[in-house]
Amino acid sequence: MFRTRRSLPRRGIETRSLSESGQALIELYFAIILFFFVSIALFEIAVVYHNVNTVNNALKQGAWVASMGGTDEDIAAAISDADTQVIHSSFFDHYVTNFAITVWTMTPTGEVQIAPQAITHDGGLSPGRPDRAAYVYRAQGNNIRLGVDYTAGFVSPFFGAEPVFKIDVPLVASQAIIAENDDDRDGLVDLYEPELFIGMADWPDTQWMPIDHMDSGVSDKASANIDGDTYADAVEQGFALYDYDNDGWIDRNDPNDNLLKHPVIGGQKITL
Amino acid sequence: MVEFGLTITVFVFIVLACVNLILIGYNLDTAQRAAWEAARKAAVGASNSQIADVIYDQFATKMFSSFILISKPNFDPTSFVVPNDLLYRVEGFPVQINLGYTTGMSLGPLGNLELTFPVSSKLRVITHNDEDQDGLNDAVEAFPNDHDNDGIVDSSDSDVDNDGIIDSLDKGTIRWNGAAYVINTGSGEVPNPSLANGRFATRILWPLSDGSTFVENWPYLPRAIPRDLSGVENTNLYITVDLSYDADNDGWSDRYVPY
Repeated sequence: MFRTRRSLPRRGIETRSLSESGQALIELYFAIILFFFVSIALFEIAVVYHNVNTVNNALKQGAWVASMGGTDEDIAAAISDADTQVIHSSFFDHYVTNFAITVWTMTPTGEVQIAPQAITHDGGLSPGRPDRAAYVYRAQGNNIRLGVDYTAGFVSPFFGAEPVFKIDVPLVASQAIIAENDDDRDGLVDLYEPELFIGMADWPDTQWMPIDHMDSGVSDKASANIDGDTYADAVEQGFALYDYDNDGWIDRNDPNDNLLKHPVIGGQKITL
Repeated sequence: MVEFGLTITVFVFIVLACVNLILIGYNLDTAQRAAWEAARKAAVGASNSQIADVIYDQFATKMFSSFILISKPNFDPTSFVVPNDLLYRVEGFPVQINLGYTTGMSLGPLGNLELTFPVSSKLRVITHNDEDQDGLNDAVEAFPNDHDNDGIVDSSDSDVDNDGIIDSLDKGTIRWNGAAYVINTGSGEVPNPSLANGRFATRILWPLSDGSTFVENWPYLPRAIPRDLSGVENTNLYITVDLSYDADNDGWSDRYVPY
């Protein structure tokens, strides 16, 4: 009886042990697979985090170059430097799309985008692309803003080359332009003003003057009243020289009466 | 019981791995911010030791490490700032910080499992430190105000770039002639390979309505030659440029090809 009582439970234990060990193996197998995927997912999240950070930093560097008056090639080169730091993995494609350059200006009512403009003319200006502000608007004091979309797409060999799913992260960096390129304070880069003036019927070549705040044909260096207000320059100080209505906002940022005529929008006053 | 023990062990490792990943992410982020801050310092004229201080203050003292998480800066002192020589860190030119972040896991007697992430940051020098426009930092240059280093300071030199043309006459016009970018220095328009990509890098001389000329400030960077509303180069558009600091008169100031 004693032996029987001892042997019965032992057989029971052995029977349960054999069946449960197989089940445990299967559970362990699934657990390992699950942990493997969780680990891969964690790794990829870290990679995406790193890459977003890297591209964001590169974008800020690009904005810095842009603020100094760099060309689009210079800006793109600064952003491309991120290629050396971006981590590429087997399961995810990492890439950047929709590179755009916009220019904004601060007004009393807030920041306003001034380029690219949704008009036909803007497409003909350097660099002549609808997603990039023309050089003529990248004037000192304006805000240049770069944007890209960073995408991490999960690619599986079972579903072809297209990502099964993807994460889009829009990134933006902006910087005030510090290049000294707007001597007449009209909000347009002096070098590129001829892009606007030459070829326009109502603005013959002879009237174009890069250092001419009002584009009146008299350069600011020879003018006694740069902004055309009721006060001679001799009695105005500082930026009041470029402030027609003397409201404390120089004309290029002032949406009110500022006398500046914008050739692209038909020789009318700038309305921001 | 054994299974439970194994499960607990695996969970502990997973949790530790998660914590480590978070810390690695934080450290990497800190390293990048430090590299960026260091580049900003370099862009305004900081010395190598000042830049190294930034890395130490902003990264080395702020990163997380533990007995199983290896975490350390990893860079070559001779090349973590490029250019390493202050002489060549000149207004308008790029300066790059190369900082490595090494992380990994200590495996005890088996050694370490390490991985190094490259972290870099590049900006352009903005401090005004190249008065004679020769591409060298005036502060550490032997002849800081002598563009051609001929012993005559630029303010007293009638031919700053020593090209045989006195400065008041050393100028030219750049335009698109319908087939190529050409420069005219007084002896006819000549296509120049330096202008082939549509960019130039020298001062512009603006004509003013009173007959005088306005000389713009030095540009930081090469600029695109403007076009017009037709979207292509305009044969009627001339830009008058100052070539007094351009010995080979190609529309690119000598500072881009330093002496």
